[in-house]
Amino acid sequence: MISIIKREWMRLSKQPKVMVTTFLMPCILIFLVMGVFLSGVLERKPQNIAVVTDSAKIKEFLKENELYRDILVYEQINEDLETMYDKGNVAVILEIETEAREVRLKYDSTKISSSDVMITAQEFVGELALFLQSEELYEEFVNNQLTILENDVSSVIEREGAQFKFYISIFIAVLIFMVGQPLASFAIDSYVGERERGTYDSIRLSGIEIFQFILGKTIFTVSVGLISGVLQVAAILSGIQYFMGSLGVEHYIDNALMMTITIVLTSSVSLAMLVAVLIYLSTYFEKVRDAATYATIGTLVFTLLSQVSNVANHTVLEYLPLLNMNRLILRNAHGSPSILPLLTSVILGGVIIAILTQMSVYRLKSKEM
Amino acid sequence: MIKINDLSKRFGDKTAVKKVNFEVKDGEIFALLGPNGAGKTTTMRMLSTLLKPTAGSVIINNWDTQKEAKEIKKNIGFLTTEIRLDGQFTPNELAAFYGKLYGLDKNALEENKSKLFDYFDITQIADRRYETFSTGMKQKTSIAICLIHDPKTIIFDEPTNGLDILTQKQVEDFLLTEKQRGKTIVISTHILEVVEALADRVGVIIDGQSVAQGTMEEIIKGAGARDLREAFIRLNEQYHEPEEIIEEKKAKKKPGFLF
Repeated sequence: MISIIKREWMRLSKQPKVMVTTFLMPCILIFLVMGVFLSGVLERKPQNIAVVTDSAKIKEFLKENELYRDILVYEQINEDLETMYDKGNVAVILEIETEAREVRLKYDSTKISSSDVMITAQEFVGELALFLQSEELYEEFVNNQLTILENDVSSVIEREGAQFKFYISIFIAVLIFMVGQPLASFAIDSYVGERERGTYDSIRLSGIEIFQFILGKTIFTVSVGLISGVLQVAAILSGIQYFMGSLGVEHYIDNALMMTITIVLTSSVSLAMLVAVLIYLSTYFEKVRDAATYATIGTLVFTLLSQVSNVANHTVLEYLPLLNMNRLILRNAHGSPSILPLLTSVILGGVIIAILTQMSVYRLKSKEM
Repeated sequence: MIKINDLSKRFGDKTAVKKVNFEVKDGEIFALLGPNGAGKTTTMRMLSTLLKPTAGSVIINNWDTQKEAKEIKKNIGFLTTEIRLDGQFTPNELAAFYGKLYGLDKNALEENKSKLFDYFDITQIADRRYETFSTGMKQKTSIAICLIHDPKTIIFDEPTNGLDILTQKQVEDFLLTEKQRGKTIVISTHILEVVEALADRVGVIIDGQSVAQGTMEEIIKGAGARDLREAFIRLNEQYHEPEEIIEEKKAKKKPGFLF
């Protein structure tokens, strides 16, 4: 089996054109296209909170409190502030009376690009009330305006989440297709390609078991996919870094380790499933050309299926291999590790791969001794 | 020792091989002679365990091809025009790969490789890609690689097909040397000169049926011919004769003949 994997890598390394189309071209494409695309998605317009007050105490609070140093302070609403508000540079205006008994909140939720700014405004008012020991401010703000604010904040979060999910789905779909397409060519070539080149019999005559042959081919193909996937993820991150500087993904990823484990495990299992299906299909063909069409169709179906969980918002899908990719990645990106669905899908996926591999072995065995 | 009993192979409605019987003794060269499409390659593939017979059996060195295919594979060297090697690899890489698959240790691999590569003039070009070789060099490399594990039994399907006279002679001489080393060799061919140069015994196969078997002298005598060429033509004519004439001849069966 190891000899088969080694041979396949050697064969690949001797085909520069295939190397370029498998590894280099997708990386360049994804660096340029997805780098620019995702940068646009992730790049948020810098937005501020403006506090309008003439209270020295409030100004002092703002000065002392490092957390709120980005808050702009105005004595009154002037033309400059209104322009910034209209342009969306200032998302929230908090008008606070001298005695800090009332806060007038001014914001337009349609102009807010991130829930951060709302949360900061909310926290600021709460802390200010404590600092001033102003029960009136606290009561008034909490009882009257906080509910409204929370509703708006949640709508922003929802909108952000939906947008992010949508863009991530497209990103993952493109990534899967870019990795899947060359991978499908290798998988479909596994049997029919060897057969057409006349090399399958010479390998079988060496006494190698069909199972070892199939497993060697599967591991090789999945390893190509994983390396290609890792290179493409690196390309996309480099693209984001290059096109938008240091600003970016950390904002969306709370649990980077868990997310990485999720991506590696779900993609390995999913890719191995695609490979196992295509290797099984390849045993039905006599010509690579005939099988190639099915490889492309297979990759498209695989890409669509991997996005199903995102469309059909159902928890059960999270536990199914292949269908869980997006949901798991997104959940883990938001800091809530999903170990059970992850393990379930890996085990289920492993069982499916084992069954498919065995089906390929039986199919080939039925053809020969 | 190779024993073939009532070996048959059907592909759908077509019977490619019908109840073929022959026996190859240890240390002899047996030639399976037949016209194109006679079923020689199908028979050879069943011998090599690559094809499952529809009926009948093949026993090689007391191993049954259908029950002990793995042992047989390890102990035969099989060459056919349908089997090719990876064009991108060099003979050195191919030897290393197949040597590993056959489970050879480094010393055995080096010893066998150097003997075969030297004999077939591959050593000088052992680091060049196989796909850049001429037909003759490709065939010689294929022979060297399929015998890298020094098997006891050699099964070659049309080993000299498309080769020039010098390369053909080199392959023939090699097979004679291997015979002297005690190897059992089966070759299939439609080239009479190859049979004359190599075979201890001959089996003639026409339309998937064995029609004659014996030494060359027995075949020639049995067909009432002057040489192998004439015997082969007569056997072919006899086979295609109307059934009543065949039945009549069967009744007067001559030694070495199956009908």
